[in-house]
Amino acid sequence: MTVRSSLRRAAPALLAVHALRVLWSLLLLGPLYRDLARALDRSVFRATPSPGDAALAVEVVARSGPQLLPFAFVWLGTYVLLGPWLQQLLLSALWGASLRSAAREAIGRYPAALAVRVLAALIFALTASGAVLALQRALAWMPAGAALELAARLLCALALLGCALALVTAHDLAQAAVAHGNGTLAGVQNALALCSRAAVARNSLSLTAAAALALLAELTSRVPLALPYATGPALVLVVQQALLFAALVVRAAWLSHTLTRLGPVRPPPRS
Amino acid sequence: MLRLLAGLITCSVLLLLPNAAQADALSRPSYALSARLDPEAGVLYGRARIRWPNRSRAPVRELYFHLYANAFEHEQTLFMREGGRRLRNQRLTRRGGIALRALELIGADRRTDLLPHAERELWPGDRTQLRVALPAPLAPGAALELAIEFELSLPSLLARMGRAGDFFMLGQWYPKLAKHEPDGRWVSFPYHGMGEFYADFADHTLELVVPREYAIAAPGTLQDAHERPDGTRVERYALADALDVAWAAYPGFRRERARAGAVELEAFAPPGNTALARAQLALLREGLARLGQRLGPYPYGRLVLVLPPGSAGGAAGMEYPGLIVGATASWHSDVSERAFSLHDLTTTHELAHQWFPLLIASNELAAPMLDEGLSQWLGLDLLRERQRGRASALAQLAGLPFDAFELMRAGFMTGQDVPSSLLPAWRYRARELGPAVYARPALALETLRRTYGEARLWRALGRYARDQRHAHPRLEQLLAAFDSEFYSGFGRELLVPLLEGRTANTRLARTPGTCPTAVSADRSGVALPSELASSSAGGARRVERWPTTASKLDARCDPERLGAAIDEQRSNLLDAERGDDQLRLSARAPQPPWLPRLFLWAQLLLGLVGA
Repeated sequence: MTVRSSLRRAAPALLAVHALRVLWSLLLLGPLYRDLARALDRSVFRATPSPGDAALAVEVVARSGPQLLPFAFVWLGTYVLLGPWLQQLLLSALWGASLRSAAREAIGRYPAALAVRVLAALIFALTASGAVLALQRALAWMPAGAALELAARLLCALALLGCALALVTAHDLAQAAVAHGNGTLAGVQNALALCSRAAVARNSLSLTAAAALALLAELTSRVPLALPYATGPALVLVVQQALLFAALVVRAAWLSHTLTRLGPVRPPPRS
Repeated sequence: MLRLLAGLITCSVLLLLPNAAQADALSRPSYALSARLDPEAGVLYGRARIRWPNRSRAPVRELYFHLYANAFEHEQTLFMREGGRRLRNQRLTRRGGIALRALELIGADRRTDLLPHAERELWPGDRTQLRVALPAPLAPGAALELAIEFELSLPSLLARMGRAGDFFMLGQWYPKLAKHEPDGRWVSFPYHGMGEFYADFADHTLELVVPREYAIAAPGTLQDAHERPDGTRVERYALADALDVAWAAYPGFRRERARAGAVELEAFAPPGNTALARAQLALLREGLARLGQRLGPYPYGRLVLVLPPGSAGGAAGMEYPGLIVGATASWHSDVSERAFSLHDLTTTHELAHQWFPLLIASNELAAPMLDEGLSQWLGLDLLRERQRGRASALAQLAGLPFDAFELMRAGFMTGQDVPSSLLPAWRYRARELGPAVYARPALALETLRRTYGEARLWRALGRYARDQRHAHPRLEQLLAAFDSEFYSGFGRELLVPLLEGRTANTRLARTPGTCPTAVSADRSGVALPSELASSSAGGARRVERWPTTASKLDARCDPERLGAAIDEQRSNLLDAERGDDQLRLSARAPQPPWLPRLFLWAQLLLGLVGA
């Protein structure tokens, strides 16, 4: 099973995950967008963002935000809980399962996938707290100096980034092990065994590529376009969605790679 | 002969000048304060020697003292009842207060104990004031001397008083005489939190004793510093012609120094914040130059900036003569000079307070707008000037040129029932202070700046500041300065209504009829000069002036008109609804491409937290 073929088989699942993200972002920001659109309906803009645009955006956000924020948090929380299921769905699809059976399998593995994610979040919180404490101690201990203090902060940030990368890699490997039929504990043990420097490097490469695509998508909305009212944002939206989908595919390629680390054959699902 | 006479007069004036300065200093009250800090016990042992001249036209029969540290004595003091129990998310977890051990009037041949007949509770449940009768009236022009011993039990750090771990902040820490007016009245009030400086200008000397490992951040000129064999360190400072004196002590302080002309700048920050301290000193240097040039020079030879450690939030954001307490600094504090950070906002605001009310000494309790409102505008204006041509971190992230005043307006306009900005401090509820006393006056001043020009506004503020330097002005004096710069009656006609809460609304609508591109503008509330801009195909623009005398303005039918906008430069920050100031008349008008960015960010966030 090559990465390319598994990606091809998982295309419906990838599209479903992307669609779900779009739907959730609509749920998160749809009401705000509606209010902004109402304000925009009267407004006159130039192609380059102006202080007037900023003022209008701030005003609409300030007026609508307090009412919309609780709902946004609810939708965000729901998506956070949905996360492990979506990852299992993708992994099953990358194994070759159809969208429907992948969704069913992901439900069955949800508790273990959620446990792996909670564990990873806890470890990250502990690591970050430790890093902050160590930084505070180091800053109090070392002689004063702007360059030295900046170096200490950078070193701490780099160390934390390294830990985070290793943790994300281990997490993805553990999720793959869960998709392979392991329970939480066995999945974590498997992940620790497989989490090599090479795996972290590959994952970093995948994350960098995805981040670059996301950045490119972000930059598209900064390009001044003197396009008519109806087509301007629509065109930007299409380009952005294409780039974001490409970023998702890049991440899926890494997930597909994690599956190959677990062996070529997948055990039959437990009844 | 005439030349000889002129020479004699000049010589006399020159000879008299030092004497006049000495006489001025002698006619001011003076406080010789000494204090020993015992960090283990959390107690400060203090002495004060006060020389107080009666500069009024009437004999003085009694004295009023402020013992503001007693605001933290229990939960029923006026300050605590007014909302001090929880201030800026800090809670009082340990009580404290000031106890006078001795209060003596020093006569030529004997000392009179004034404490036995002192009235300690001038407000029910509140001992932040003390009244003592004098054995004999003090005649106008005469002076008295007092010797005081006190013990200050330090509360948990709240409202710039107390301790947080081994950080100590001493604001309102000594017995201080209330303000004595020229007509012989005492103006004394309990500690409200929002007003603490209204007092006579006085000369101060400070002798501070702390354990050797502690660093002291105190204002004024350092006169002596040495260590004692008992493991303590002594520092002496002098601060002349000031309303108050406060200081801080912390073993972790690291110092950074800079100069701004003749003024020595010194920052005290917790470890790891060298870059932040330097950036704040650079900000102070620029601020002193800008404000000094426009409002009159900064009056002291030294300015101290204290950045409290992260655990000492109760000390943050306050001004004292010659000393500013900035925002807390911690491991995550921003070290970027380009950032539009909380530190910059706090430091510039507190710097502006060095003029209002610490030099132009209005009564903050009676008219809080005169210090907080002006300082809010001055602080934000300083930041605007500093960031001119550079996008803030927030603006860079959003890709939109945000403006601090617009952000403040957005917050202000969404607030409900904001009372007048001209009320005394005690009339506001805690949540009303920000929008009424800080935001609206700053928005009103910024509206005037954008409408009438920066130079004019600065000239009005400069005139007020220079005329009222070392004086105790009221709103009338501020309005008079605006009248003299703009036109007679400007203050009452325009500034006062805006500060009282009237808005300056404008509205644009299609003119009823057959032509879809004919528009008309109308206004309500305070009338500000404005303009109506029309954009046409091919980028052509046409601007019509809209004077305050006309309540309506019509723009006739023009098929080429794509859109129209009132106040396109967004000068008017006190229009309650700006959404109706623009009108898009054609689908050919461009739409901003930044709008899809909202969805992009949402999707990125979902990708990070989900899958």
